Amino acid sequence: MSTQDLEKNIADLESSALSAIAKADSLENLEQVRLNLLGQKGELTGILRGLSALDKSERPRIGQLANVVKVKIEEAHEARKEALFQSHIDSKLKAEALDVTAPGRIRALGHVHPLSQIREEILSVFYSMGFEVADGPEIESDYYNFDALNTPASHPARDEQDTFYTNLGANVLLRSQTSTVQIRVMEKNPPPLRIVAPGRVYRNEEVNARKYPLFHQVEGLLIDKDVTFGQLKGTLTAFIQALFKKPLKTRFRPDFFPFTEPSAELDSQCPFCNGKGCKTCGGRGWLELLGCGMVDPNVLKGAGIDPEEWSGFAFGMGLERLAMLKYGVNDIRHFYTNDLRFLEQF
Amino acid sequence: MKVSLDWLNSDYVDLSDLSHEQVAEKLTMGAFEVEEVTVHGSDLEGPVVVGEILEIHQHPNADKIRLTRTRVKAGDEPLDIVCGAQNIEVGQIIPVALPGAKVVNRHDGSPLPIKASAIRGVKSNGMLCSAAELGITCDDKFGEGILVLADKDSPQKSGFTLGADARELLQIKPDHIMHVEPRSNRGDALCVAGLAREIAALFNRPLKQPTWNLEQYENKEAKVGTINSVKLENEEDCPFFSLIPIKGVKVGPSIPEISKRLEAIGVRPVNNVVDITNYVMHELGQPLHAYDAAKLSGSSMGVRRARAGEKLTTLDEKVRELTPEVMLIVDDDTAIGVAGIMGGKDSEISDSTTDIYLEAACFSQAVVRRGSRLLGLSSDASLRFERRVDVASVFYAARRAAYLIAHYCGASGPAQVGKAMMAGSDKVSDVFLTLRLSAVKRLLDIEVTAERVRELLSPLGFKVEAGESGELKIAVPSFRQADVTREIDLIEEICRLNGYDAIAATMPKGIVCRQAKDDTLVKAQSALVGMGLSEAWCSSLVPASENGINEDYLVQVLNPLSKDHQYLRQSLVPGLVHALAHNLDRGQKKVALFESGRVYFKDWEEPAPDNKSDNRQERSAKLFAKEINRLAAIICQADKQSSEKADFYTMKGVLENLLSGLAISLAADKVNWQAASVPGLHPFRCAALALNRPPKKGSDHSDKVGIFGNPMVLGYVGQIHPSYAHAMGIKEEAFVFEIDLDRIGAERKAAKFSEIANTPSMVRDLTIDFSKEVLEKQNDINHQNIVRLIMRSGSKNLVDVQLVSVYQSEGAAHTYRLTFQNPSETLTGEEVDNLVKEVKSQLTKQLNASFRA
Repeated sequence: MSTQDLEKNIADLESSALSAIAKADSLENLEQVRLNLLGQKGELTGILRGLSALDKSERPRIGQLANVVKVKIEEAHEARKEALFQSHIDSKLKAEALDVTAPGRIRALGHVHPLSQIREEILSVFYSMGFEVADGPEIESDYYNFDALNTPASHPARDEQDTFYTNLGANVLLRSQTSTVQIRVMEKNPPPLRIVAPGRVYRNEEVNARKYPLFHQVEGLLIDKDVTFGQLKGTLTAFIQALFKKPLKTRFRPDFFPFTEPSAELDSQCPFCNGKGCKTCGGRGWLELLGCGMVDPNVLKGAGIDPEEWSGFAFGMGLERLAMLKYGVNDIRHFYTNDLRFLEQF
Repeated sequence: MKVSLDWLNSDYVDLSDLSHEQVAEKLTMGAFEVEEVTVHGSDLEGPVVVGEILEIHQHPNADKIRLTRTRVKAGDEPLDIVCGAQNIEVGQIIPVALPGAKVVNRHDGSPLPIKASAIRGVKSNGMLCSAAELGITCDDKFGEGILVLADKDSPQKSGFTLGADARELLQIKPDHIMHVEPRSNRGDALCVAGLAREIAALFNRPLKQPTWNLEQYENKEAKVGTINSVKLENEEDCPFFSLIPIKGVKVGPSIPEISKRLEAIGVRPVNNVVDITNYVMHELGQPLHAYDAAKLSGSSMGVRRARAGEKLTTLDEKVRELTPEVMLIVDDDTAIGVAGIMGGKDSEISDSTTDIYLEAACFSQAVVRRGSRLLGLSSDASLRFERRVDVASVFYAARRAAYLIAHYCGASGPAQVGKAMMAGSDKVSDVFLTLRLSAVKRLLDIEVTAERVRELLSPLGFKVEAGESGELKIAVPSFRQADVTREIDLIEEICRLNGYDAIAATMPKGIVCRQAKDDTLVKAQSALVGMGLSEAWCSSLVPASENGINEDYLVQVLNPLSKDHQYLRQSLVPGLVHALAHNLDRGQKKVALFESGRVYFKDWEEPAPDNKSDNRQERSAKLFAKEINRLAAIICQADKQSSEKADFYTMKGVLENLLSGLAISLAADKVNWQAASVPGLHPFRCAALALNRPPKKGSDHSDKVGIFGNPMVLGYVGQIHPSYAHAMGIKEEAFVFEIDLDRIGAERKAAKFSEIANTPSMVRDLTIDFSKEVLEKQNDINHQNIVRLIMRSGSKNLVDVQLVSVYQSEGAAHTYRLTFQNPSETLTGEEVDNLVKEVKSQLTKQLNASFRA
């Protein structure tokens, strides 16, 4: 082949190659074009191989010419490949489009009982204030349930009407309050003490929307030197604010419990209306949340603690009451029926 | 207790400048919670005016009603008004409701609007009003007649101005009734006077007393009936008893002032004598009873316990069967009343009564309460005796009532009050308490002076005397001697009267927490919830028919609410089965529930301890029963199409997952599974999980009963027995597990790191065949034994064995995936092949396994 022919061939190849590359409409086509040009048996590869047959003086010039064309073709190929790849990705992604609003595939979680949830919340708040969790038996003696709590035999609460007695002895009953744990803890451990005791209690009451023969309380006790009524107010106000996560006002109303003196009922500003008055608080703006008071000296003495050296406060609250308020549950029986339609709401 | 603000205000403490809200708020913050304030007598709306009846004619179309011409303004034309009452006469001054007025419907107390309308064809331009229609008395008995303000010839007649507002004249204005519940230790405040004392102290206002004088009506010679002495069986039941004879009464309606006050607080007027006993009870808190002297025949009235089988008809006309726990009032020996609770029918005051005995006594709180419970009978009287009446005030109340009866109920002029008969003693000794101002400071963190203490306590009847430095000597009034017995009770009074709000909120110092919170339960809850189970809380009081109850260790309630709440549960499973049945009944398809809670067993180690022991350590260490913390779960899948299966292995997997989450090792060297038998479960689908070795001493509390009787058992998993399920109306297969949380808690281990090997691991799958003959001959071929043998024979470089599949046809083919790894060097294929060869040979030798080529 003459040099001129070769030059022409190279020029023709350049234009036909660039046009073929531009025409390639898929990565596969483009690859075929590349192989036809630059593969082992490709046209340009053939031309480059043929250079050795040229005159030595012509070889560098034609070689350079061929190389320039090769680079051009390679660049055009790369650019086309990039473009085709991008459009391939785009269409592939488009084909993979999902309805992102369709529901997730889940294995349904179960639900923790609302009474467990509120119990944990209460215990966590007190734990953060240095109260340990304590425990005591549900099957108790009248000593721990009444006598030790300064509730003499003549007290109305001791009537058979309210308390369940058992076959384990004339004095053995199902505790009617978690305050029993106060005494057991004080008898076993020297002060200072800070405990909270959650537990089940029993009262012989007809079942209705507000009453069930068993329910749950959390009892608290703090014994130390120089514990004052002001500290009772401070501690329980902090508790209420932490439980409802709001800076609610509290008010302490005088009340009577045999085992505390002075005793109080703690009203919290209603967390649902911030004290403005709503259905939950019956328009009063206040919710009665728990009973509390300074531990009666008789109770301390009975447990072997000198009331002149130590003082303290105690409090008790009903889990059901708090849960009913917090979640708006209107019938206490829901808590023990274990209907999934109820449980799954929490 | 209902208290009339009007009664308080006019007789005891001036509250005229305060709203009922202010009074209620003060009481509520002073330990007397006002639950509600209702309005009484507000239904009356004007115009209700003073009128005079000028003429009365027969109604042309009716026999029982008449037509009046009534003038309601001087000089005006009289109005035609129809009236049905029989007591009207020409010339009477009466209240007239004019069209537009709203009075009270005497039949049901509802508002009754007055319009000009035709009554049986005759136009009526208003209504002549009875007391009931004006809201003064709502009892029909007194509502018959028109309220006559002045008779025709009465000298008072000239004092009335026709047309004047009758409401103002009769002082008919709304009264506010406070519903107060004094605390159980404050029997002294269950009356107008007692509450008034508290209000006066809380508002720092003077306390008034109504004025009255009994002496003017006393006549020591007045003889009434046959009773001439009073007797007490014992002074513990009744420390003081008094009987005042009153001669010459006429029984009839009460004066409006008394019936109005009683009605306002919801007490139905009966007659003037009985109303006065009720009035004084509500005023002073002392229950009283009046007997018709003519209906008694003995020479002595007394108090004694009833005899078994004795009967009495009480005022409510019910025949009461009595027991010796009930205290009686007797006429000689004849029962005439249940002391402190309710009088007898036979001696009640009637319209023909002329002479009466007025009883006032102090009865034992405990005996009245017990009697009231036994008879299922309570009254305003028993409520007050149960809360304690002040023995020192009994006779004062008796004299007050005698005065009112003599003054208002005399037959002709005042009745005569005879010489009182008394038994027992109403003397109360002085009680002095010492109050240290330092003790007030120590507990309440407020500074009070002796002067301030006096200011606070004196209005409540305490006498405060200065004692030695910083100590006050304080005399307790008789009516507070039950609830104020110690210094702390005085501190409580100071705190209350000074105001709880006056004490600043502070925080306790220091932190006392010696023990971390046990997280076993919370961890278990979150693991189970993560696996799709929801938490149930079931009743621990169960019926006797509950599955699996062991009679020997049963804790039984002696006074159960019902047969369904008779025993304390011994397993959590029956409660969950109930919950499952409940949910399936309501159309749930998949039910997965768990519960953590206690089970209860009568103590088998020792008899119930004597809890009156004085040794505190000993006492508090003893318990009456075994209360064991368990955790149980139930799953059931009623939807057979669902991809979420629920079978034995699902439940077992949940349990294994849970235990791993609680850091309980399920490794073969720690625990084992064994086929087990549990009542209520499928006999061939139940397994117990047990420790290989007994637990460390101290952590065991073996409950002896059933499968947990073995102290190594941590729990069991199984299928509910089909017949149990059937009995519960459950058609599906249901699976349960139950574990002992206390034992689990003791076995939990803190995690320990082991070095991560960098050498590659090699995996070999091994299919093990057991022929039909081998399976029939050997009953030890099960997964657990196969894995244990593989692990034992695979050297320490066999690090994991997993079951891949089990194929059963004639025989069985188990495929296991064995993972080999040497942490310190790379194993060669040849080494691993040799290890597998050893495993195979052991399986062949010990379990007669065969292998495919």
